[in-house]
Amino acid sequence: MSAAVGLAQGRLAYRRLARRRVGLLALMAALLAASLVADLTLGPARYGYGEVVGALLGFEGPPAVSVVVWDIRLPVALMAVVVGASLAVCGAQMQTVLNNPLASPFTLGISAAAGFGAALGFVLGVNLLPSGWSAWTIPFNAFLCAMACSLLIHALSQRRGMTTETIVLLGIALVFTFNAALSALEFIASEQALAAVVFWTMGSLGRTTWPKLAITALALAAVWPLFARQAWALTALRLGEHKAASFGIGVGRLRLHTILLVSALASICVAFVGTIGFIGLVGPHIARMLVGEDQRFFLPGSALAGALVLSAASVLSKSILPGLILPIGIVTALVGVPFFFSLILSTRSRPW
Amino acid sequence: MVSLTATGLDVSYGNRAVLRGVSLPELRGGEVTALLGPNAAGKSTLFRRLVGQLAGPGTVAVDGQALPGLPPQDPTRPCYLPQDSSANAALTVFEAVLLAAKQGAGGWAVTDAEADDVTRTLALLEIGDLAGRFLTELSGGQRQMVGLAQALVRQPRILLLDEPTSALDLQRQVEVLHLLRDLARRDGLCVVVAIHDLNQALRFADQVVVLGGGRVVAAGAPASVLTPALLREVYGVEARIERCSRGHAFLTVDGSVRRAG
Ligand SMILES: Nc1ncnc2c1ncn2[C@@H]1O[C@H](COP(=O)(O)OP(=O)(O)O)[C@@H](O)[C@H]1O
Ligand SMILES: [Mg+2]
Repeated sequence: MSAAVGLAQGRLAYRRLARRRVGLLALMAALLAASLVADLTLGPARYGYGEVVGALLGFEGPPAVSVVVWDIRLPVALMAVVVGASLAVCGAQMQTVLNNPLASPFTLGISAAAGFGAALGFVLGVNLLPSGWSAWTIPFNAFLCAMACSLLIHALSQRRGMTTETIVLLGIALVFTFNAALSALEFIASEQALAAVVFWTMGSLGRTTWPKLAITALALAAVWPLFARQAWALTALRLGEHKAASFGIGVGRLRLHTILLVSALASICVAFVGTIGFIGLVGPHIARMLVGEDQRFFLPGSALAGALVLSAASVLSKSILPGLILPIGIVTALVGVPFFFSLILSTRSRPW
Repeated sequence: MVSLTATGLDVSYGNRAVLRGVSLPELRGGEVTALLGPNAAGKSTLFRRLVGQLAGPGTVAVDGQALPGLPPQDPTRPCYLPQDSSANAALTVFEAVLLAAKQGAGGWAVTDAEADDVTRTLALLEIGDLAGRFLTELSGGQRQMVGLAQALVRQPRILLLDEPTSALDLQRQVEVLHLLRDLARRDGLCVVVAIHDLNQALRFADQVVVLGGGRVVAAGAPASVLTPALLREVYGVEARIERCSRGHAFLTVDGSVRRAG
């Protein structure tokens, strides 16, 4: 075999691998689009696929369909996509920089902190916003607490001698702390406030409005290019921090910046939709199994996997019990877990 | 010819001093240097200090230019292969070596030239057949070969290898050490290898540097440095160098000394 043939073969094999990954990403995107449309057809009134697509494209049709699709269902359905994508991206980058398969916004206490913040509003009536902004009171409280939790982790992780394992341990300790604080609030809450808190912590997309969707989407759009620019460096982190450092990468800085960005994004998501724990963990694992850990494929793969799981969960949450929308946080785990198990048991490359 | 100099290096972790005033003889292109020393002597620490991963007093210079002045991806910076090759990422061998070629930066796209560098390096190390395998599926020795590929693909002028042959079978050990000596002789690389096998050091190194207790205990030509007295002092073994029937030096160990204290 001549050297030139060997080189051509090497290129070809790599290009083929890359093409297969792009193909898988395209397939996930197509499934996501299908799931999104299915999501729009479901609700108290069921519409046909044709009606929904027609309303989306602005064709003539019954005005009621157009109003329901655009004003009520579309923001919720898109929120499932954006939040699913965001939480999965957060989980992917936390797992990458903390070198831990269990890292996610949930395991670092960010969701628990948001729940506590929301409960402060429901139970004690904490309101930091001027009157007229009452619709934003709960998300704002939740966001502040989630961000405070993130910054605490960030500050602690900058201390000398902190390893990635200690950061994860700290996160888990914070989960317990915030959950205990939440229980204390629930204990003293009125029956009405208690119901509100419990429902909030189950996670729901039903509170979505266009402005909330816009904020979440903007946050995702803002952090995305920052991660994309560091794609090679973040991928290299997965070879171990000594190896990454030997490539001339500033591992400490990269880790801190990433944690900060991810925390802000995750805080915004959980502030609006409550506790949806499973996506941030499972989205990146699905992506890793399908497209590997080259961030150029892994980042979009995680986003698509997270979006797909949450969107499919939204569809199911409306179809399991007719006339009733189950809290999305419950359904995610019920759909995601069997799918996840089957993937784990069938895949050959298992990094963790 | 490239040269690496280091003088007066001190490194401590917390308040534990690990390197105390380490100065190395000039390490020149064209030569293979074996870095010797028992476990915890500070070999890995010295490497990490030489590439600037650890800070501390003392100076490290390449061709007379102090290192902090060079940008992180400058090709004259020493290329360091860390000891640990246990990473379990969902990356193929090709991707892992490509990642090293990119050095955590560079363009988003993978050019043909970059892909060819990877293929050539894998072929040089005779691990082309592993290209499509995932890191998770490799044996310890195979991982170590991938690590070597990750170092060589960057086409460095100074190569610092931390126990690169510790998991390799005998044939691979000999082949890798031969390759490193060829790279030094033919391409003028400056190669420094931390190694525990003193016989391989005797056979392949042009000079040895012996670390003990955070200091350079001895340095120079292998056969003259590795005296029974030094082996007793540094390694705690009764050993001596013999000549085989073909005239090669080899080390034979008679027993271990129970160290005082
Ligand atoms: N990150 C670290 N933190 C604290 N001590 C360390 C660290 N790395 C190495 N050491 C200590 O420094 C000494 C030298 O270690 P090392 O350079 O790895 O030795 P060698 O590579 O020669 O076996 C050992 O006593 C080791 O315990
Ligand atoms: Mg070592």
